[in-house]
Amino acid sequence: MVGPVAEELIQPLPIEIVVRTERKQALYAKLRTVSSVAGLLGIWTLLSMVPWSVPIPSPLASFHALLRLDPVMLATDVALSCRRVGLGFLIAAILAVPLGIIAGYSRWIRNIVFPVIEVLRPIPPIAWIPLAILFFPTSESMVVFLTFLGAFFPIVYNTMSGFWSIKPMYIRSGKSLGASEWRLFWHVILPAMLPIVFAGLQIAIGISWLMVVAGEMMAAKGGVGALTWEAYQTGRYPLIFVGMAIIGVLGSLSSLLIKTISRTISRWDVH
Amino acid sequence: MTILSARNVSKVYNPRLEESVLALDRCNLEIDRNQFCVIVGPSGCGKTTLLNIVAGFDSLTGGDILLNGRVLASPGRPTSPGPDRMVVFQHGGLFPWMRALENVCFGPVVRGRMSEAQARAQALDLMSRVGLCGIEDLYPEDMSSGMRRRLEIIRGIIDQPQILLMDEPFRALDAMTKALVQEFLLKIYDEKPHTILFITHDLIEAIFLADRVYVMTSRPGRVKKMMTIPLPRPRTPDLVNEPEFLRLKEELTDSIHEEAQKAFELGEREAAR
Repeated sequence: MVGPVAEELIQPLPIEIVVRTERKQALYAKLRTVSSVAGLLGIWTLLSMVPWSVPIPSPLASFHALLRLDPVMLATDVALSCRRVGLGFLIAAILAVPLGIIAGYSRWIRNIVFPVIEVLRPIPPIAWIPLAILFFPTSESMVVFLTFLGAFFPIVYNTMSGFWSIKPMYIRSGKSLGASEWRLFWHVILPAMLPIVFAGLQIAIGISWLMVVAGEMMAAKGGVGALTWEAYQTGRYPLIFVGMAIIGVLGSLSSLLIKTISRTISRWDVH
Repeated sequence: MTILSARNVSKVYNPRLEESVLALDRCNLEIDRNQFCVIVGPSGCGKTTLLNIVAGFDSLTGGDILLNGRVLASPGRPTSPGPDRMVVFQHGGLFPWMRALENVCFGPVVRGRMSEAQARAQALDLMSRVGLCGIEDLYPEDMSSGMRRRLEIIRGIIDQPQILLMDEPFRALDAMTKALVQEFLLKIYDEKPHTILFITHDLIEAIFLADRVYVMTSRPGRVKKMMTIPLPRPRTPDLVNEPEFLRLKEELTDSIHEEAQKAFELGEREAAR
C-alpha cells in the first residue's frame, strides 16, 4: 500500500526511552575513547617502571615538566610550528589542487607534468632537507618549503585520482541536463571529486607535520621540533616526551580540522 | 508525426582492428510524438548502444538519426548530449551531492529556462503526483530505490524534452518496487504523454508499458520485428492477465526466444574460446 498509514501502526517510542538509549550510546562511545587514552597512559607508566639504561619518565613526570615550561615560550613554539605547517600546506593546496584538476582534464598537461612528478615523488621528502638548507636564505623559508614539499605530491595525486574516479554517468547526466562546461565543472565534477581531494589533504597535512618537525630539528629556531631536539641535547628527558605529545596532539587536531571542513562541505558523503 | 527515426544505423567498434565488433547492423526504427516505444532484446544485443547514440554518448558508423526531421547524428558527426533528449540511467544518475529538490531543479535552472522559484514549484508539483512528498531535502543516499527512480523520471521530464530515453531503468529493482514504479510512470504518461524510448529485456514490462515494441536480435544487433500494442490506456496491473495481453506476450516470447537462444550459444562459444 502506498500513501498515509494508519497512525496507530507507528506508535512512537516513549521519548524517555529514545533519549535514554541515545544517551547510553553516546556515553559508551565516550567511555571507549577515554579508556583507550587511559590504556596508552597505563602502558607508558608500566614502561617507565622498567629499569632501562636510560630511564623513561612517567606520564606524571612528563606532565610536571610541561607545567614547569614557560607558557609564553611554549605558546610561541606551538604557534611557530603551526604557522610553518599552515603556510606550507596552504601553498601546496593552492598549487596542487588546480594542477591535479588541469592534469585530469588535459592529456597534454599530463604528458608534460607527470614524468617530472613521477621522478620527484619517490624521493622521500626528508631527503630534500640538505638541499633546502643550502638553498633557502632563512631557516624559516627552508622549513616552510619542506612542509610545502611534503604536502604537494599527495594532494596532486589524490586530486587527479579524484577526477578519474568520477563515474562517467554523472558527467553524462550533467551534459544531458544541459550544463555548460563551466557549470558541469562547478556543480558536478568538483563536488563528485571533493571527498577524495580531502582524503589527500588529510594525508598531506600529516606529512607537513612530519616535515616541520624534521626541519626544526635540523636547523630552525623555535617550534615544537626544536623544543624536542633541545630537550634531548640538554638531557631533559621528560621534555622529550612533552614535545612528542604536543606534536601528536597538534597533528591530530589539524587532521580533525580537515575532516570537519570536508564533512561540512560534502555533507552527502556519509563515508 | 515522427519525432525520432533511426535509418540503417550501424555501429562497429574498433573498425580498423582485427577484433572489430559489429554491434548494430542497419537498425531502423521510428517513434511518433507522444508514443511510448520499447526496445526489447537479449543482453548484449546493442540496445543500450543505440540509446547511447541517440543520447550523444556514443557515435555511429553507418546510417543516420533524425530528430524532428533534422539529422541529429550521422557517421563522423555524432551529436552531443542535450536537454532535448533526457536520459534516465540504468544505475541511477541522480547526483548524490544534491538533495532531492536540487536534483530535479538543476537542469532547468542551470540552463536558465526557469527561475529557481519556478523550478521548485514545478518540481514539487510533479513530485507530489508520484507520491514523493516531504522528501525534498533528502540526499539520494537516504531514499529508497523506488523513490530514486521516480525522482530521476521527474528530473527527466520537468523541462519537457523532445524525447525521454530510459535505459533499463527498473532493472535493479525488486519485483514489488518495479511494479510500483511502472505504475507511477504510466500515471505520469497518462496525465501528460511524453515521447519515450524505453529499453528493457523484460517482455511483460515491454507490453505493459508500450504503444510500440521493437524486438532486437543478438549480435549483430538488428531490428527483427515491430509490434504494435493496441491495449487501451490507462492500464492497470490486472491487465497482464487479459487474454489479449497473454496473446501479445506469446507472440513476443516466440520472436525473442530464438534470439535469446542465439545469444546464449554465442556466449557459450565465446566462453569456450
